[in-house]
Amino acid sequence: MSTTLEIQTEPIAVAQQTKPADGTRVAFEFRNIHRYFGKLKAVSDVSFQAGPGQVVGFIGPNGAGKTTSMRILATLDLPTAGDAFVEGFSVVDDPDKVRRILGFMPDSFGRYPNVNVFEYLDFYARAYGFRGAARRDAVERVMAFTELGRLAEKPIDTLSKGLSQRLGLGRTLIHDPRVLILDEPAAGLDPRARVELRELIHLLATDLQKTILISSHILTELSEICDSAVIIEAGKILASGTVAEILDRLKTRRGRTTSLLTLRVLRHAEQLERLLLVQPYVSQISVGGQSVSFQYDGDDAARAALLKLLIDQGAEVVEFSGKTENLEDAFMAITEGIMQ
Amino acid sequence: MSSATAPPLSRIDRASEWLNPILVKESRQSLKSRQFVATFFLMLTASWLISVFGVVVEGAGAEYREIGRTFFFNYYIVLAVAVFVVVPFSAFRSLLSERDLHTWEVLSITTLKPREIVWGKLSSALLQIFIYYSAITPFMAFAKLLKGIDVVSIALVLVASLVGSMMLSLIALTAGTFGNQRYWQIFMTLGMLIALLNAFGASLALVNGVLEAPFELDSAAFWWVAGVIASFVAAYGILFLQIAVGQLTFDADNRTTGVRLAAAGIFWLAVAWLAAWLQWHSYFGTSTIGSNEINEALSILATLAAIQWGLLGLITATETDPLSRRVRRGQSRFLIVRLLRTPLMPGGARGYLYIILHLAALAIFVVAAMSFSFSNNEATCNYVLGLCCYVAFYLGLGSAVARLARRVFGDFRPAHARVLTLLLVALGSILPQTLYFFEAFRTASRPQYWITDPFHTLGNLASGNTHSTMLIMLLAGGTAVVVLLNIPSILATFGEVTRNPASPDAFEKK
Repeated sequence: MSTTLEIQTEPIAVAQQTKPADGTRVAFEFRNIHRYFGKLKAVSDVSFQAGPGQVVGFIGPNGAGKTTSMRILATLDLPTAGDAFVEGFSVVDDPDKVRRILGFMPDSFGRYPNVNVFEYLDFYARAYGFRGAARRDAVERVMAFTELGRLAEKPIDTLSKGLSQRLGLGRTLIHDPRVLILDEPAAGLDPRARVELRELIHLLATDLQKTILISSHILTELSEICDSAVIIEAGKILASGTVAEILDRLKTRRGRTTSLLTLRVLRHAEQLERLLLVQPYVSQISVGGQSVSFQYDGDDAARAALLKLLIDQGAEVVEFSGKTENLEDAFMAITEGIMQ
Repeated sequence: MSSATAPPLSRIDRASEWLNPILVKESRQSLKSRQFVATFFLMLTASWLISVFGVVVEGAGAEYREIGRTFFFNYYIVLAVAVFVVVPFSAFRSLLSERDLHTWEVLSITTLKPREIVWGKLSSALLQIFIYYSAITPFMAFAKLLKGIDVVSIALVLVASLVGSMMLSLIALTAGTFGNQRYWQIFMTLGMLIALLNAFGASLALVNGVLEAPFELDSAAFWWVAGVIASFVAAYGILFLQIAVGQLTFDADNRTTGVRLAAAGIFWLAVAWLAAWLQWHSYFGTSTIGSNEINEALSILATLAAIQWGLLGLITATETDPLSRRVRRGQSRFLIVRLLRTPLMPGGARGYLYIILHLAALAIFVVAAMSFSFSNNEATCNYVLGLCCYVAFYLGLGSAVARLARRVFGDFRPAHARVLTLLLVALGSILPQTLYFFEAFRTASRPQYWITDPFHTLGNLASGNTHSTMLIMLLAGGTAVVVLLNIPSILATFGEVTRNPASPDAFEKK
């Protein structure tokens, strides 16, 4: 899926509604957002936008400004300067309109006491103005999607963390918003619940064409469901684009294409080590059992030639693998761990 | 994806379709809440015990002795615990717990308006009151069957208690909107409990008094007082409602116009009642009222009004001046409407203008009322003028200094400005006292040395001090200077309001 995600570097005059120059619709947009808490610059000149149906991962260390930015987009906070827009409506000027088309799932799930699953969803359906059959349909639709129907009568304060997150997601979807903001939805979930939640989010994006801005610390999972990512630290955006674009830019910035290769042989790993020592592009060889790992600076053709050479020399290769850089590597390489 | 198995809508659900969602949710919660069920059954048990114990103690005397009043009072104690302590405290906790349970943020971004949220919480309190009333009603009817109390007294006490409980619940709910910080919540909870227990005690004392000396329904004074109380309860109810709504309103929205309108309504209501009272006695009164009574009434009105404008000014005059983009764009298209609404719009300079206009109206009314009723009393007149000058002076000074601090430090918030204004008043009061300690100033006990101390100087003015004219001149001069300091900002805010709301904003062009 192609991305329209980009960083706006030029200041743009604030207008009530965004009208992208190329005429395409923009699902949400941060435009030169600043948010200061006293002298602390929580968010500093953040600008990016996403098109309809995109899933954007919002990544950053704790205190990077993710939640602050998300709260601004969810109309829960005001920017000190700049503006954010959801389908063209300003979060500052038209919060009511924004709220009708946006669903926000905060990182902590608030539980009312003495309320069951059905009553909880029913309350939010009423709060969003649904009446009669529409209300009933909204609740049924959400319970079906989150598979909470069989737990309709269960008190919400007895739900597990995974089910609570499902209910939270259901509540976020009750008014069928076109844009979703999910702040750390997988935090504290066990692996099964995480996978289930990931599948639900994937369904939301692919089947229901929701635009999603999602933050998470579990970057491997995020890279599986996101079309693009925005990396933020100390309130500033450090990188944005598709995961591949970010990695490419990272490699370009480093000026080399070093990768870690691992070879596993049936026997005689020490002979393989000696052989590798005289090969070009090879460095930092380490042997562990019958596995040999090394840094390799050559391109793909050189890599193929190396494998052929090793086999020709009689190495009994069982496995030849290179570690592909992922979002986590990019995150670690780009961010500096600055705490605010 | 499995199909949903939502329970079918019950008849009650269908009936609740058009009710406030918060009322529906909280009613469902209440029915399962231990606190509600326990209170309800404790009320029933206590009332049963009172009935059984009372009848056993009275024995055959219950047939002819006037014991209905005693029974009624004991039942009332049970009811008062529920409606003056439990219900208002639940209303107070209701909003605080939304924040504690992290449900507030999610609720605030639904399409429910702040007014609907407050009404929902208030309706929920009202529903609880009705349920408690329904539990106690059979016992009250039993008290009526015994001799010693009439149905009118019972009805009036119950209606007054209902109104009182609603007001307490509204005040508690409003207080709950201020509890953003955990430590602050603890102090507020303690304060609220003490206040509610006091209200409970006061209600018992009042009802006891009423039972001792029943209402004189055929007296004109009774209906005058009832009318005044009812109108002020309604007016303050609106004010608290507006404060609560303002507190829950989105920051960029207009949080203040409703409060300013409601406060103005209370002021003009008080003026109207006093004017009606003077008019009544001038034209229709069977008894004459002396000028002392008129002066006293005017002094009380001025003092209460000055306190109200002082407190409200502390909030409105210290706001930051610029209108938010949203408020600007929501203004009327008609210039005349925008101009007339200027003092009611958010912003510190507009807030100050709003206060000084009302202080001027107060001073004019008092002087006019004195002339009208031929009760010219220079001391009262000076006291009222001094009071107005002090409020205008300190609020204006605080507002001007805060504006300067904002330019210098940047991040100088309304809360800082409020503390600064209070510090200025405290400093003005302490300074003469401190100087008085020094020997050189002991001889300088002339009133003008105390001019910065409002309490001391107002005492002098009220007692008709010989230097009153000079004091008033000094105060008027000082106030005029402070008002002038604020004039540029006031004019600037007029400029902001008069600009066409559809035109691009100045700062957007930058």
